[in-house]
Amino acid sequence: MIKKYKNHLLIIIFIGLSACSDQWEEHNNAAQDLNNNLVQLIRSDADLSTFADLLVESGLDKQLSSGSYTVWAPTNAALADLPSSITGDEEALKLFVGNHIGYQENLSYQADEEPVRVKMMNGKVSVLRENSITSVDESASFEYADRLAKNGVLYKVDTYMVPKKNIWEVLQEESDNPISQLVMNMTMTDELTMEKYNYFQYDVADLSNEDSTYTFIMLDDAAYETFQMEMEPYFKDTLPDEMSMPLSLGLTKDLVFTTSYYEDVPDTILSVDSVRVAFHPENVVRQINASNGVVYMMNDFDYKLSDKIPAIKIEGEYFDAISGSSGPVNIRARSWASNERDLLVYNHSTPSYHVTYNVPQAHSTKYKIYWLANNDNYWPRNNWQSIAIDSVSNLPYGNKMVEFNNLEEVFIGEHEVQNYGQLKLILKAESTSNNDWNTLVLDYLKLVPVFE
Amino acid sequence: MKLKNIYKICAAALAIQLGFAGGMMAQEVEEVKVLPNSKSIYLEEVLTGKIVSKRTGIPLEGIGLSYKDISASFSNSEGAFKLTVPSYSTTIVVSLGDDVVKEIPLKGRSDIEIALSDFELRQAGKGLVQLPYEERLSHQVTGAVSTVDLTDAWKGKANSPETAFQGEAAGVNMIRRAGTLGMGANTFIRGLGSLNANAKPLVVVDGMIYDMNEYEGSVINGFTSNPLSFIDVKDIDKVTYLKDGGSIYGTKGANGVVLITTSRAKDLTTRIDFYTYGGVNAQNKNLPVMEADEFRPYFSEMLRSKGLTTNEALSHRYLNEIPDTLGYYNYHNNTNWQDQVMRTSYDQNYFVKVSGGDNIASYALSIGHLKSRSVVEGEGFSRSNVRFNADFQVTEKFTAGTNMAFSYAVTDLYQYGSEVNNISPLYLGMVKSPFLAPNIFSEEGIVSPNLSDSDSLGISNPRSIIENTQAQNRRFRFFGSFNGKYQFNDHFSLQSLFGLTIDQNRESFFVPDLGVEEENGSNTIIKNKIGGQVQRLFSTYSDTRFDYNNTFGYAHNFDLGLGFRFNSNKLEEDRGYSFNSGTDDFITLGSGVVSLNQAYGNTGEWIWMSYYADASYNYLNKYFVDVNVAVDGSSRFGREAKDGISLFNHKFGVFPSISGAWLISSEDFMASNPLDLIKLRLSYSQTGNDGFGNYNQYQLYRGSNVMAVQGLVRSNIANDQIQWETNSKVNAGIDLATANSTLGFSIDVYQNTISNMLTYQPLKTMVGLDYYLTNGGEMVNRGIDLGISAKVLDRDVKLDIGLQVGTYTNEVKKLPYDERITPIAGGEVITITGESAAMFYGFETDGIYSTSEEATSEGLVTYTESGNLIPFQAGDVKFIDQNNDGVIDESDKTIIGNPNPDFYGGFTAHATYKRFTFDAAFSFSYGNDVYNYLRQQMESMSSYENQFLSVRNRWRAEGQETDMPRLAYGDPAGNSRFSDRWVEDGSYLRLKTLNISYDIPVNGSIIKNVNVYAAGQNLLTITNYLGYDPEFSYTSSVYGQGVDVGLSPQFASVLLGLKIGL
Repeated sequence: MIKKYKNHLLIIIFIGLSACSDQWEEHNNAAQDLNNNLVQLIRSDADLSTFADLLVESGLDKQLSSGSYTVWAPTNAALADLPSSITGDEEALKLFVGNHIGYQENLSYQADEEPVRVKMMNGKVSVLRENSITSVDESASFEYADRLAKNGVLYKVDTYMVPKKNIWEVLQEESDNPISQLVMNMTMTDELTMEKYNYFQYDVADLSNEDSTYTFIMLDDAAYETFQMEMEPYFKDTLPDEMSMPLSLGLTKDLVFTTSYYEDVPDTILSVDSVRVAFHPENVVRQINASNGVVYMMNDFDYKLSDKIPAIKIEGEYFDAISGSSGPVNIRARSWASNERDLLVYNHSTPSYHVTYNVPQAHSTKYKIYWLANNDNYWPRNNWQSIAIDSVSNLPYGNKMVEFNNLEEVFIGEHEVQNYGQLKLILKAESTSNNDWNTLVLDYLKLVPVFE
Repeated sequence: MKLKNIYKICAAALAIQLGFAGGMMAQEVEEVKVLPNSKSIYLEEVLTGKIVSKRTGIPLEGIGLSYKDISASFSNSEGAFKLTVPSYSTTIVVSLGDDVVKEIPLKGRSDIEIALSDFELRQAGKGLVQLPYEERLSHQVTGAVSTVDLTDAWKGKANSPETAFQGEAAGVNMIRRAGTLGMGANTFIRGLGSLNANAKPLVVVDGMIYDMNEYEGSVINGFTSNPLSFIDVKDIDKVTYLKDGGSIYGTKGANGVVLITTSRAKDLTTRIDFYTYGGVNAQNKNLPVMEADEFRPYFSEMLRSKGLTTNEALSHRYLNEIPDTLGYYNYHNNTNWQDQVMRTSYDQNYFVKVSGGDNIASYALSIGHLKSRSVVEGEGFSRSNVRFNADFQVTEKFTAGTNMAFSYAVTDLYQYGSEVNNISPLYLGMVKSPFLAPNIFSEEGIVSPNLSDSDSLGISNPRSIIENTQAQNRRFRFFGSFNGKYQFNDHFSLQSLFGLTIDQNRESFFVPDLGVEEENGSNTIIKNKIGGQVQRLFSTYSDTRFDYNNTFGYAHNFDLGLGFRFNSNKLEEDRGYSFNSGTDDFITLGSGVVSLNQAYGNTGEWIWMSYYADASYNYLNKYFVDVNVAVDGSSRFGREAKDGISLFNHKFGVFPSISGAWLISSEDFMASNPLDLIKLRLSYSQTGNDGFGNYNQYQLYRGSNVMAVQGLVRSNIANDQIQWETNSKVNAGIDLATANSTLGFSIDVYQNTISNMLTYQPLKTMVGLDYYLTNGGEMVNRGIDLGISAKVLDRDVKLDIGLQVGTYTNEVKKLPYDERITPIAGGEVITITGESAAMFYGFETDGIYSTSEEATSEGLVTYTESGNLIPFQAGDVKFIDQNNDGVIDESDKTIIGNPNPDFYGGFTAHATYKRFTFDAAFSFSYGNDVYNYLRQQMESMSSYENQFLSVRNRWRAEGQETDMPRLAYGDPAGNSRFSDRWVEDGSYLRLKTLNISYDIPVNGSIIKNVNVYAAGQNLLTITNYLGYDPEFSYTSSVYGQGVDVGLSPQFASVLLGLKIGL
């Protein structure tokens, strides 16, 4: 009798214990895949065994088991012809495998409206479309997609994609090219840290940035020579032999474009410095696809000089120096004014009060000088002011009256800049302390290059 | 006889206090005379018979047989006896020593054979039921009364006695509040007693009301200071539940009455019992949360969902994968935070009980000390308690007694609940990112002893909560009474009881700056926080009563009691908060920034007085009628109350009750019936509920500060008609027992109607006040209670089992408003007429949209928090659009769950074999819905908190078939809103206690007995509930039952104990 009850009790306890674990098991019950991390999931597909081995060889399997990733794993068949330049080189293998692993979860449905740029583990960026993944110029189609793992998504793809070098690396490789040499020589030493850096990367574009896309134009020797010859007069400086920094930048800045035009390049494209450049496909000598863009080797560089050497506009309110106290200097909000501000200096009681504007971007060429200065308040009764060049006593254009309600640019005169960047424009008041006469007003100054 | 004199002096002093001095002194010199009983003239018949053991058939010698106190006899060595009785239709009593074994109706027989089972002999003396003013044999009881005998409960844990009597009485739903030590249980007798007034039963300990009010509650979130935790279960003899006939307690008895009888000296020999145990409390099974390797990708996806680009997410410091960077070691761990806050702990209890005395004075003195810990590290409960119960036979006619108990308990705890998630160690233990660590690491990866601060995700460090927060409750209670009784003659007596409750409840807490996320206060950022409270209660109680009893002829037994009770209470509560003390070392209320200090206070004085009468009559111990009436007044009632009668210019409620029982099995025509007991019971009673706040009938004002002008404003609308809630109870029951009570069966059907129910009438905005308290509602509880007991084995192995089941339905009948919606922990409960009170009210769901097409074709939209309408998309929860307007909003809420159980109760098994004793008690609740707030938090997938492992199933890919929605930062589509996703079946079956004990044979010269035992508590819980534990009740209010706000869970304990009797 007691035995019987003992059995009952045991049964109850057994049911109890099993019930205890069941409630969570049932609730947490996930499709088998979801209990596996990506490495386990890849292992579970026999057709991905080569890729799985490569993962282990490259040492990326550890990273892949924690963190959120998307894997586009090529099939064994696709990987059969993997060149030994990749398999034999540890670094290359890591880059290669990393080219098939994207950070975070990327599901194909997310790309059904527009492609999704996916940051890959090797730093490159691939593009996910609803039915394919593209690494620069290589695309792979999905044998299956969106297989969910515990820490990410697995796709099986029909081909592998070799990681490309970025433009900066391409540039370094093409060391025979004059542009490459020019860019690589654009180095500077930081006076504080004594570290050398390339100012092209800072001032124009960091072509090694994998997250951005660029089109970069390289010129062959002849084209470069022509281009340089055209540019040199505008970048005159006092250092005879060395190539100056403004010239280097002037030569290179308009070779970089922020979109990667792998194909169908428009006939006019805008450089990073917003200079329009004509693109003639017939001038392309060579095209090099890089991971973050495309490099075109060209035998001609076609641009408009007026774009390259643009007019310069100097807002009156952005002065560099004033000759007296700042008390009488007013920056007014004016709806008609450029940048909706202008400068008014009045009641300063100082003869020859002047305001200085440096023009570091002035090219070594002849400019026509205009101003827009508007006496909109009929105050003072007469407002005469003049422009001095470089020194306050150098007044080649004499005094000019500022007219009432004149919103037209007024031609002041011409000036030839001797060296690049060496120009100072000074707005000078009358040499009187009478406040009826010595007011200064300026919306902006404009320098228009004169091409002969 | 020096000692005797001392007793007499003591008793005299006592008597003077009680105002009996004159009468008693006069009596002291009176001679003790033995007079022949005048009733013996009725003894006309002679009954003969034989008493044998049912199991062995052996005649039993020395068994007492008696007819009332008129005639008595003993069985001889052949078991035979002869007894004179007035009639063969009467009932005789079989007893063993002073203990009644059973009553035997003669049913016309002149010669009977009585077979007594071992059980009956062993249970001798336990058949008495404690009623408010008397003890009665159970089958003479007319009302629905359940008794739980706790003389064997000493093997359990000493923390709080509720565990011992939970599930042991049908119709009494005790829900333990939490695993926090000493928190006890919320008790609901026969359904929900009230919506807005007190819904807890009255507790009476040794004839005096035991104050169970919470008043303004605790300053420590999630804690309820429980006065019953002052009583060690070893001090309790029995607990009696009056489920229907509470009207003797007038306006206190509406929710039923719990009578607790503490132990007194059983006989005059001196007994010294020493009890001790050591216990181990097992850490709860951890809930399955994500580990670091799974949380890291989840976290990264959450960053993306917040709008961070891949690069921004990758550069997040927690996702940095380069080992030699700053902080790498701090962010690359796999910490099991639940293990950081919970652990296995140990308990100790020592308890000594001394009882004895002589024929003049007997006493029972017990002293105990308990040191107990919970599974949350640092949580503990320590209690020292003394109890002195004594009885004095001062003269033949004057008896006196005293019950005195003093307890002091210190509870160390933490704060829990949905409002304090940022400092709840259990909550933090689940949501804290597993890749973080409790301590700071150096750049080289060496762990330091310094705790890390709250992390940049805004989640506090659970270890810092464990080590640096403080929350303590220190409470003492003196609960004592004197009583005296003067027996004028056989029929008349006068007795009086006077008692005091002195209770002081102090609390303090400190929340540190280090490791805890800062809070936004109204005027400042709150760095650390200090709080304190003192509650002081002084209460006097007196109960004076005149008794008359007589037997007219031999057949008509009549009892009458008339009495007066008076209860006066004085309460003061003071509460203070202080913020931003200079450092975490300043933890007192005075050290905060003065301008931020907050102080609150509350005082209350209230009086309850009650005239009562109780009369009982029975004819031949077959027909029983009890009539009670109480006339109650209270300072809380308005002078213009509609009901009741006017006395002394005040309104008094009148609460009558009548109950009757017919003991069919004692009828002569049942002579051939093998059943021991067939009893029909019927009762109707009216009770009242005065458990609402003071001063509602007065116009009250409160201080207010407007634009730096201090003044008084109205804080209520006086209701001079405010009165008690009336609870009318109808009960019908049948008790059955087979021969020797081998199988016992008791069923009760009841209906309790609560009228004049207090409701908060919403007021119009122009009034400037939100509510008006008025007696405007009506509610009904109907139900059935069933109790079954069976003595399955009665040989070497003795086994008896019992089952207690209750079921009820609650229905709100009338409300002065359409509906009341009460928000609780992000969910809501609704109270409307025609439904049970406080039903879960939220959205119905039907899985999730697995594809975008499905979501688009359904075309539903919802409002975001900022009020924009957005469409549901793939991966969102499919909410049911109840009103088909295409928008999921407030109007689509519906009733999604009922927190009331279908059935609840417990079953017990008790077995003995030689010197072994085995006890098991199960409690269960079936069919109750619970709102799993914790799971709602742990599966909401809307922030950086760690989540349950189940979110692995979340919707990620188009077409994925799952029931877990997508992750979305901030949950714009409201996928985690209160819906049936979070309402679970809270049914459970729990092995509440399991004891095995062994009586070590001792020679008995010095040591009388030694008992060793092993006991387990909560060893097994069968449930489908997805949380730590399915049993919780964070509030005693009806609103809020079945909501798991994250209090600490019940845990399993194993004790090894020893009892030595000298």
